[in-house]
Amino acid sequence: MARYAMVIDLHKCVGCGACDITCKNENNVDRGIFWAHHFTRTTGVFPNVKYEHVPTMCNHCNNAACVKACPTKAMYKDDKRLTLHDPKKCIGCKSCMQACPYDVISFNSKEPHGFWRDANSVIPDGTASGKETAEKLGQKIPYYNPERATTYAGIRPKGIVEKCTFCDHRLAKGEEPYCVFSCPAGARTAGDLDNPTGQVNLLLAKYGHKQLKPHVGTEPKVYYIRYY
Amino acid sequence: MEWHAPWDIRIAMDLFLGGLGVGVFLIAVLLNVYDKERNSKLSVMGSYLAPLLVGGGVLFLLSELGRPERFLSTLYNFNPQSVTSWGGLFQIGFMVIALIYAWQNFKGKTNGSTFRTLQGLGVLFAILVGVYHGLLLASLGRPLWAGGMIIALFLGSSLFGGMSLLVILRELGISIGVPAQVRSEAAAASSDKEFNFTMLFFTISAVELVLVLGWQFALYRSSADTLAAVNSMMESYGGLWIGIVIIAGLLIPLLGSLLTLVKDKSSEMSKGMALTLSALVLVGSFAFKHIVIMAGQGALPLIF
Amino acid sequence: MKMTRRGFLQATAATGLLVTVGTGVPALKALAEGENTAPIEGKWLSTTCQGCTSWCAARAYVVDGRVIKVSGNPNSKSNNGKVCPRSHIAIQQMYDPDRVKVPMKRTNPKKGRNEDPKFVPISWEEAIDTITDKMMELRNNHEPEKYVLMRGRYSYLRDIIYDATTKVFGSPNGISHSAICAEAEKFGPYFTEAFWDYRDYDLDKTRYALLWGADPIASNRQVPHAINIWGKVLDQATVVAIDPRLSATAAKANEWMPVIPGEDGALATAIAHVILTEGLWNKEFVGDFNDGINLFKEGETVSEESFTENYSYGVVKWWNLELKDRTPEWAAEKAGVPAEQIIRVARGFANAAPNAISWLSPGACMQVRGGYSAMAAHALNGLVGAADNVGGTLRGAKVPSGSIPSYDDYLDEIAKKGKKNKKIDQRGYKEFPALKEGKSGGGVVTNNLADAMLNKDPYEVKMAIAYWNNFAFSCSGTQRWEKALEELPFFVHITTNPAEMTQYADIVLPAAMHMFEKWAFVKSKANKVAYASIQQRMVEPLWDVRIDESEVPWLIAESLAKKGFPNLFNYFKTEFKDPETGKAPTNSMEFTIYSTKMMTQNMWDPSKEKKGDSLNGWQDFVDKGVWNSAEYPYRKKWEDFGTKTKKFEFYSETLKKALEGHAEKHNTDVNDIMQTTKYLARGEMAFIPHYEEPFRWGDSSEFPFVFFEHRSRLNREARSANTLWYQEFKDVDPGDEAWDDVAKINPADAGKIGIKSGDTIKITSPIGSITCTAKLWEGVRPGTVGKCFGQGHWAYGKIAALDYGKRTPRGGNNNEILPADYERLSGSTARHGGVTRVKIEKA
Ligand code: SF4
Ligand code: SF4
Ligand code: SF4
Repeated sequence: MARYAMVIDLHKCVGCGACDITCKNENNVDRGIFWAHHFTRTTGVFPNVKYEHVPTMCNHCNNAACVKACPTKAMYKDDKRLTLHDPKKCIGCKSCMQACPYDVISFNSKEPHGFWRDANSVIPDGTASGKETAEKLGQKIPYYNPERATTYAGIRPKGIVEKCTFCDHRLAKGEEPYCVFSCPAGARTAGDLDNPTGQVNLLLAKYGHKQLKPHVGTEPKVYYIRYY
Repeated sequence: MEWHAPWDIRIAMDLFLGGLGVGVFLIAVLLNVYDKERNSKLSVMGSYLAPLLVGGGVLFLLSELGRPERFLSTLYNFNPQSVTSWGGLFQIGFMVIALIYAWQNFKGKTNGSTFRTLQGLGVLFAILVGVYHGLLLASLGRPLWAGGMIIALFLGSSLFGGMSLLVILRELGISIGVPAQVRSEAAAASSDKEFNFTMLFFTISAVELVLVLGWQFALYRSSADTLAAVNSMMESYGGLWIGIVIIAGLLIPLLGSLLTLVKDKSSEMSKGMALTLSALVLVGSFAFKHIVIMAGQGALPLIF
Repeated sequence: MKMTRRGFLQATAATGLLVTVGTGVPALKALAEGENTAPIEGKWLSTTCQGCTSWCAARAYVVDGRVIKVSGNPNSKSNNGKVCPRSHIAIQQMYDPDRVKVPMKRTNPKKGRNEDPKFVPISWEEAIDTITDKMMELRNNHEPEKYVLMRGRYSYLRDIIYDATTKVFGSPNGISHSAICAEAEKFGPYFTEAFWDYRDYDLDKTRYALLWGADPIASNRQVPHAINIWGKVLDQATVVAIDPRLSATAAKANEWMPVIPGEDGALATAIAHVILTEGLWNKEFVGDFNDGINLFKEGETVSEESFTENYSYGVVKWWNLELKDRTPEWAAEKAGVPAEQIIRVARGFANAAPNAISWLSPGACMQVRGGYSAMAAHALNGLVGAADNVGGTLRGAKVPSGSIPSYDDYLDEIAKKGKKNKKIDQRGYKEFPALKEGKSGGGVVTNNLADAMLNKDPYEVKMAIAYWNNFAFSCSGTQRWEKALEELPFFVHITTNPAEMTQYADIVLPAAMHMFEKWAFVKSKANKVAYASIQQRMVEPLWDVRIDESEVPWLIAESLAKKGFPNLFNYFKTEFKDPETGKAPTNSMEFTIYSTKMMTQNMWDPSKEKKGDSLNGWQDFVDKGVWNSAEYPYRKKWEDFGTKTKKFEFYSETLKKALEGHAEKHNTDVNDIMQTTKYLARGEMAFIPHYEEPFRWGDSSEFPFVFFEHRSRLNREARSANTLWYQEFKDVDPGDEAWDDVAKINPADAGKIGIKSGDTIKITSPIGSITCTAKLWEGVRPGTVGKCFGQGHWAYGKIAALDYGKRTPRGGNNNEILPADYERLSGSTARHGGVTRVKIEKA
């Protein structure tokens, strides 16, 4: 079976955040929760200043700390070596969040998407409200993506954690993860590590790579190549 | 982005109450074994208290779960790699044993082999639960919690807390649910081979203080991640840590008990001192667990 | 991983079942939580994103009457099928909970920032009826010129409302927003190579990119193309970012030149100086000394006869008048950038020539004295032969779109007379030459409209309709706009959101959102290709909205006809026909669609000759979404740039003619015009690119910091601040923070005034104060403070404003501290170059 990995080319990445935004869009992710995110770093002193932007996401670690920590096997490795989460098994103990060295798992402490249940209008009868907008469309979020629900909870309910699934629902249809598809810089490449001639292995062979916190032993499968 | 700790105070409550519970259980058993006659009143009350405390802790834990109704699934979806899974098992196991044990105590059936077996099993599970607390944290790989010392620290703190709770009961002369025959036995006991609480008190506080300081010292000398974690802990909780955990919770009890022992090796602390120091220990133990749990959850810097 | 969709779903269903049984969760509960997992087929439909001035051909994924995703249009040859992060935010813009959903009227006659307008919903009939009553009143009083149409962002159906409606009604006053956008930028290429427009850039083949305040991977034009090709650009070219801020592009550039705001002209002239003294100019384009010996020596004049130029004009004059003294050492002092860096950049740029780009952006020229910086920066393209050349700056192919039919026959006497009045914005006044394409008063002076209205000069304005704009937020010196709108007797705002400007409206008309709810088209260019791109109504709007540029004028025309003035309606009904069926429109939507079809017919009609894609008719155009031109040919203009001398002018005879024309009109000389327009140049200096000391408001003892502002990579022209994604990811702008509005201060400066990151601070300029959060950041030059434009809304919605009801802004709007000043030769608002100094205090 496949062994999926992501290569992020920091030389091509312009730090635009399209991956962050479109991941939310694709996966119906609530405000305050981030499956795809980034960290930035400014170093040096004027005028010799360096700024870096590094996109982050679940590393789908080969040796996933979250999977080990989960007391109910809700967090698991699938046959493509993705780290996936079963919302029906999750008891919301947050052990996985503590265990993940990359802080990429989030907990739904509230009923999600309350923004779209807010009935307040800034001008009564003149402007809409979140609730009215969502209700008119018959959805919990106006731009709810039903395709997400084919392999995971379309919207993760209160009380459980959630995280990047490597867009397994898109992979299942032969499509790339949405952040890869949407990156305007072409900085992200998803593919199978077991395919020696695939793009992922070609890039890794050509440029070498870095991983986040390789020393913690999780064997992360998001590889960063070149420099921002 | 504002960062919220995934675990709030309820996890500290679980680990604190659970720790007190197993601490009380272990000390009560110790008393029972050491001098069945003289200490049976305390050991009986300890046997009641232990499951209550651990159960209370579990309630806090449950309320902290996003899906408490699925708690039992940790048993049938058991993940052998997960310390949390084992923890569920241990806590449930302990509760069952401790409740039966308490019932036996209540009925005064404290002599048979069933009692001894229960006692043995109880000790085993109490230790497992006590070890689990630290092991859980250690297993999660966060820098502040890493390493084996955290296990000893939590276990030590639990024993110390449990011990202090029993001292308080003793000093206040509380007697609830103690079978009548036990009460009279206790009254009749002579005073020459009395269990020395102060000595134990002193020993545990000394060991725990050494452990805590050693732990902190070790943290300061380890990798950048860990150093950052301990620095951020001291930044956010430095005052509480030194004031409550180290001074009030360990140093003062150590000195107080030492003072008593210096005067007379076999004497006990005065009532006032025993109550005060024990209360301090309880506060210190809670503060210790709370601070370590909260600070350990600090956001992790991402590095290549 | 090749699993059929069907097989996959079966597998999922099976696991789902096991899980349900396994966890012992009651089946009912599982059902309640379960969601519709049936595969839903969506459709990608073409549209155009107008989140910034890139105007990207895009697509949206429509499922079940809802837009759920956005992507680039793969048929576009300009953006490689990519869109930037802004585009996705358009979805939240359309589904903004604070959309105006019905027409409203004001019930509190008092106007002011702190007056609640007490808007109440009304019908479209009542709204239009009220508007046309006012319009008829003006006509009946023979003063139709007192009607003003204020245009903001637009599609190319704009001329229906902006031009035809206004003129047929009888007013000259279609006032566009162009001069708050970038007119000064066009000044540079126009007065060197007679091109009054934005340039295209041959990034694919460039070897050097010199960016004058430009931040192409974040803002400015052709952003997705720039993002997409930037890795390649960095591989093959040297990138230099000239910007007081470590911009997104500067962060990835080879060199950052953190220029002191407004001192761009010093750098540009010094770079030219180095290129000439070191003999690095492009001989093919500029020519050479007759004997091949370089006589350009620091401080020495050169005889004009000794040099023979090819495609350029006036290089020796430029040298003698200006460049001979513009040494890198001199510039280093002015601009705060080391001389070695200037020399290194000048050499690198010239050595890469002609595959080099000197990329001008508003930052380097929307300055009070920025016209000549614009010329100087653009002149570098001439010096190295990069103008219209491989890997250089390009013009752009033509998009053969049609224009609206002539309305001349529909102008009655009142209209003819009315429209002869001067335009209201004082363009062409002595102090506002606004020399668009060389014509005195040829361009708009948008921001001055507020003063003109307040001073009733040249006359009073009695009513205005504004659409797709928010001048009370987006124009510097907003206080004047608030005042002017307060005093305006009747104001109509066509808008998607209750914006700042809306608060002054008597009638509010809910507008269709451009990307998903409108029919229209736009034209733009990038990657050597010009294009026309469609916008279509792909989902039924949730609210009772109308299309601003076409439906609203139709409704107005219909109502005016009922009230005895049928000309406009007759014009619409007679001149606009469906080019496919010949049918006349019977309602506003047909009118909209027919107009779009008519104006794009040259592109989609296979029988029309054109250089570019061949499409198979209207539906094909709608489906593909974009028509691409053939690639722009290099060196197209070398033989005749269209300037007065036909050459690329370093000594601008074209500008000389324009300035003299303007002076003549006001019976004065060019020196007087220079003085009136705040320029220091006198004599011949007025006709060449040269250094001007920056003009700043405020005294340095009272206001120690130079303030500059910049753009956000998430700003949809200040219309996205009311969305979650904008706020959650605001930190993708280097130095900025999510959900906040920060002023970036160098830590060295902040230390001196005792300010820490996170402090709430008050920034005060000579015209006003705003409150925001301090952010200590090494990416800004000491002595300056930089802040992004876009936050600070006190209206617009419940996210943009911290408290809409109380008018509490989230952060502060830069335009409340930026004084209304101008680059007067172009009419452009001068918002950059450190136009004002400020002081900073803890709030
Ligand atoms: S979308 Fe691409 S370019 Fe933008 S931040 Fe993400 S990885 Fe970088
Ligand atoms: S990155 Fe974190 S969540 Fe993802 S597999 Fe690794 S440990 Fe698990
Ligand atoms: S792979 Fe999919 S789920 Fe993961 S970060 Fe990218 S878009 Fe989000």
